[in-house]
Amino acid sequence: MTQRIHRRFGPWIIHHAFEFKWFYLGAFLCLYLLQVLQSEIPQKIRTLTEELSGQGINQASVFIFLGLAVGILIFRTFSRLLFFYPARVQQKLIRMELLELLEAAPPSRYSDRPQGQIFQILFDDINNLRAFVGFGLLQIGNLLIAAWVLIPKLNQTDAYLWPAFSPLFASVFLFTAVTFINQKYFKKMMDKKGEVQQYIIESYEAKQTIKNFHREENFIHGFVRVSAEELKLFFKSSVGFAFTGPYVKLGLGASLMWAALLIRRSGGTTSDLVFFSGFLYLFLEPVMFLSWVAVVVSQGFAAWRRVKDLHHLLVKPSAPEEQLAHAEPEVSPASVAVTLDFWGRPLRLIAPRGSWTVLVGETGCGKSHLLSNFASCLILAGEKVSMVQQEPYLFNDTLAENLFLGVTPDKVGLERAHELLRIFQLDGLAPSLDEVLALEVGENGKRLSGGQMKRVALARSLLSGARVLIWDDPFSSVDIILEKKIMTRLQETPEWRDLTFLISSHRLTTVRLSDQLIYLDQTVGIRATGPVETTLKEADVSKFFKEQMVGVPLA
Amino acid sequence: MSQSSLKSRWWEYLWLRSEAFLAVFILINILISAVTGYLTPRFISAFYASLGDSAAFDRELVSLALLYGAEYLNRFLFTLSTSRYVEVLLVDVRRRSFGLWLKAPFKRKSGAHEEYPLGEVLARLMNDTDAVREVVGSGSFAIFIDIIFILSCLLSFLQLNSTTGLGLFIAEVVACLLLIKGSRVMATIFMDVRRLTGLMARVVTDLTSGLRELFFSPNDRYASRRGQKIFEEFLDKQLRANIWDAGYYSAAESLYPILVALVMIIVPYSQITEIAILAALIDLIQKSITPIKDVASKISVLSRAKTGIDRIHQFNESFDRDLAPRLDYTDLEAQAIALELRSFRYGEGFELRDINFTLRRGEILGIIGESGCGKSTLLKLLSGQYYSFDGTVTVDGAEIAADRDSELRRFSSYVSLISQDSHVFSETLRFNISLGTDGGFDEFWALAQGSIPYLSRWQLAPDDVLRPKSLSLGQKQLISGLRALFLKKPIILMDEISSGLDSELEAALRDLIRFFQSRSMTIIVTHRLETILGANSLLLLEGGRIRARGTNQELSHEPAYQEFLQHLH
Repeated sequence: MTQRIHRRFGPWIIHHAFEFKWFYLGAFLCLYLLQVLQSEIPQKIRTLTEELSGQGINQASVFIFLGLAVGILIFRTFSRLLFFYPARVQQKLIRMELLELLEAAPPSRYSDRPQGQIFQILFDDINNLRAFVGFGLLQIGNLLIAAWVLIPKLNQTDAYLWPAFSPLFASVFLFTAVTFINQKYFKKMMDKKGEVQQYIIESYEAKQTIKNFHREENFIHGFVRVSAEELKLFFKSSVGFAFTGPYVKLGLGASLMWAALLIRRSGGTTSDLVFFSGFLYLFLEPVMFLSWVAVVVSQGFAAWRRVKDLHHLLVKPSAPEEQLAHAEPEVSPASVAVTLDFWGRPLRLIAPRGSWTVLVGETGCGKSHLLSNFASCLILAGEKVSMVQQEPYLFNDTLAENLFLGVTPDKVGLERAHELLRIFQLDGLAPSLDEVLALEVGENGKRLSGGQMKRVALARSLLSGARVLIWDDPFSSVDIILEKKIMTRLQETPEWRDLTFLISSHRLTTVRLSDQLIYLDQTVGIRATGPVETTLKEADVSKFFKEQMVGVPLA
Repeated sequence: MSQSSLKSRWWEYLWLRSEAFLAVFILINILISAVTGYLTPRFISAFYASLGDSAAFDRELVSLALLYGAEYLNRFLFTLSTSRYVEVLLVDVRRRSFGLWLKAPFKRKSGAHEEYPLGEVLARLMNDTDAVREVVGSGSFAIFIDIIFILSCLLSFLQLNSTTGLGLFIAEVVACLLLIKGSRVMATIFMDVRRLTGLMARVVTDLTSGLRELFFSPNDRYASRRGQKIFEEFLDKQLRANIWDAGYYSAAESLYPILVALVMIIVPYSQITEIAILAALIDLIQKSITPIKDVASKISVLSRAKTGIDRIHQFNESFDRDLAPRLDYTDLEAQAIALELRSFRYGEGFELRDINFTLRRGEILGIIGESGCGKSTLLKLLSGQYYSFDGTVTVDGAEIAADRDSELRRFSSYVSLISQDSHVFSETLRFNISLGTDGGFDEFWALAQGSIPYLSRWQLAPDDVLRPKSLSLGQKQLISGLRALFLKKPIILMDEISSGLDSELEAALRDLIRFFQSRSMTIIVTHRLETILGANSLLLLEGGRIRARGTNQELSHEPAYQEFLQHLH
């Protein structure tokens, strides 16, 4: 499924290089020509100074510089463009791969990762990878080609000057070393940044609550605390660069002085020193970029590790999934059944086809967990199942998109959607049904009430084409009267009559409208089960509902 | 917007009074750099000239080494102090924006909860402030010290040879101006890219929030389709920007041959006779290339930072305008309220009309009715956070005009709304109830445990961290109810969930309501019979008006009420 992120760092880069080989070939050609032109400069300057001390300057040798300038401009521009393009495309492709993996993976695989972190990987880390490929590789390539072109050139005429380059190279070495030491700060910094983002997300969701109690100051204080921790790490990481950054310039000065000593010893002239300083300059350019390259490479590498961490989670079955391997899902024309772990003992959950089965039990006894495991198990087994969670999520999109989730509805689908909007009393959201469907629901359905959101999710579930529908406490925010209308309609209408419903509820009215009842208990598992009318009369069950039946005799 | 206000805006975000000492230190660094810059061409030309003279050579070598050493030390201190400055500055900038955003009242007219979607808030608070960090992270801030250094180099060289010195100066200034002009064009392009980045952040946040939903809902690659669409749009925009980017950088990097060529054209007319002066000239060109080039490369960083600051400013300004007057909203007291609602229209057809009641401390008012009767809308109005309406609210005899936003905001401070939307933090129980101000918490907790036995059975210590996803709706209501009590809200509004509760929690919530009753005024929208029985007064709504009112007993003969009760079972 993935082409890129399943690889290790090295093979990924190699794969990328081959994927865009024509771009890179062109880019390297441009870099080569660029360096050839640039390498002409020091010799031309030496000639110029010699002319100055001799017979005077020849105008023709001056205009050669202009020609060089134009050539350098053209090749440099193209080398950049040819590096940038693959990096940008790669960024998009990796984002897509990761998003597709996230979309397909069971949530249990990444459930311990806060949403802020996942956002950061998709957004910032992959951008850092892009910078690494588009900028880091460009500069590394430039450095290698510069070495390839310049070294033979100097060897031809002035090989005795090589030792004088050592301070410059030593400074590069030191710089790279510090960069790698700094890498650990970048990873830490990114993690901290994730925490800061998580803090903002939580404050965002809680804004109303915070404001209601006027405790804004406490939250600002908390935000400053996490922010300061992140930026402290930023400072620590910059200490190393403060030390090594200016060292490169010091290295250049030292090289120049060393060369002066060598030239004096060999009886050279001032022109030779000018020639050397020209060469030093040509090496300086890629070396100065190395400071950035080092940053980009270490960030890119840290980003790759974070992407890999997530990828690793996404492709490996999680512990809850491995438990589901023993679930023995059984899908027959008569029923759907799965064996699940319930507080350490196996529990066989059976939902007869074409009927409503309702789970009841104390809060915290594990109903939601059981339902989502039931759904996960069937989905992993390839069944088309739809589950509506207690607090469903709506996307920041139109209501229609939220109902169909990427599927383009046919005429029948659209009619059904209209009918469901009426059944779930969502038709009043706008003057006409078409306008209701075109309604933008806002971020996480912010423009709808909690109850409306839930009803949209239920309608979505019914439109999804799934034959098995699992609804966790579907009518919690619907009043009893509407609940009765909805359930009766669904049980009477042909297209929904034959579906298999497995729901949970606490409400007696919901139970009465269902067909089978399963009463769960943490200590014994299934405490009672059977058709609703008979099971309700069992002592345990009637005790459970007693609280809800003040003054009303049992039916 | 005028140029001068734009300027002061910059300083507003970059100047930090509390770090004035550090700023002065940075300034001294820059001054020292000016001195070393002034000395450099002199030392260099003397060094080149001494190449043939042993005694002078050793002396010049030592001087040059000392000069390089001093410059190194100065740079080291400069980088360190600017990093420190930006660290402190960024905490401050983020605090300011976060504070303004959090304190700003919700815009009521739109009826929306929040003006900015989450992705946008994240992009502004994190990405845009990060642009400021980039300035230091990539060494861009050093451009200032570089420019000072080169300017003093040039000044010094002018004294050595005025013709070429002036020629070089003019060439470099023109180059800089052209690059800066180019950067202006780039800034607008980057603003566009940044806007799209914000948009992409929104979509990615939305999609990552809904991943779980997508796993459990059969769908046709909803996330990847939407992701693809925005990623492609972004790619397109970014590639266009890159064309400018690449051309711009390359022009800057080809400056060395161009400048050498230009200056060499002047040399025959400049009366330079010593090679040492020419060598110093070439050394100067070489030294100034990096800073001028940096003007090009760093200006894109700076312009990103500038658009970042512009966006932060825009974000901050959008709140400044309607900040509520500061009032002390905590620990309010009230003994009685009265509502007189004449009319409130919501959307097209729906209207609430002529709803009034009075309520005293210790009493419970129940609001009942079929779905769509207006009870939830009434509750929202009473919480004072959504819409203003035609009518008045009276608190302890003092009248509040409900059609004025600022007045209504004052009223909303008395009120705590407990609904399905009440937030539970992934923090300790103590924090969830006290929201960070926890004086007297332990006494309160003991009292609450006494009144609500469920709390003891729940086996949750005040310092246990809650996992909101594993809490039931009832448990969340319990926590937000306790929060309202601990933070002393005199009026409690409760949107009672009518299901999702087992008998234990039912009992706990009933205890909670009793606990409320002892301390506040309570208004409950309910379907539950027990609550109706216990209420001091009931309002039965129908079609946005009061159909009947009274206690359970008084109402029991009303046909409308009987009809409602029948629906309940």
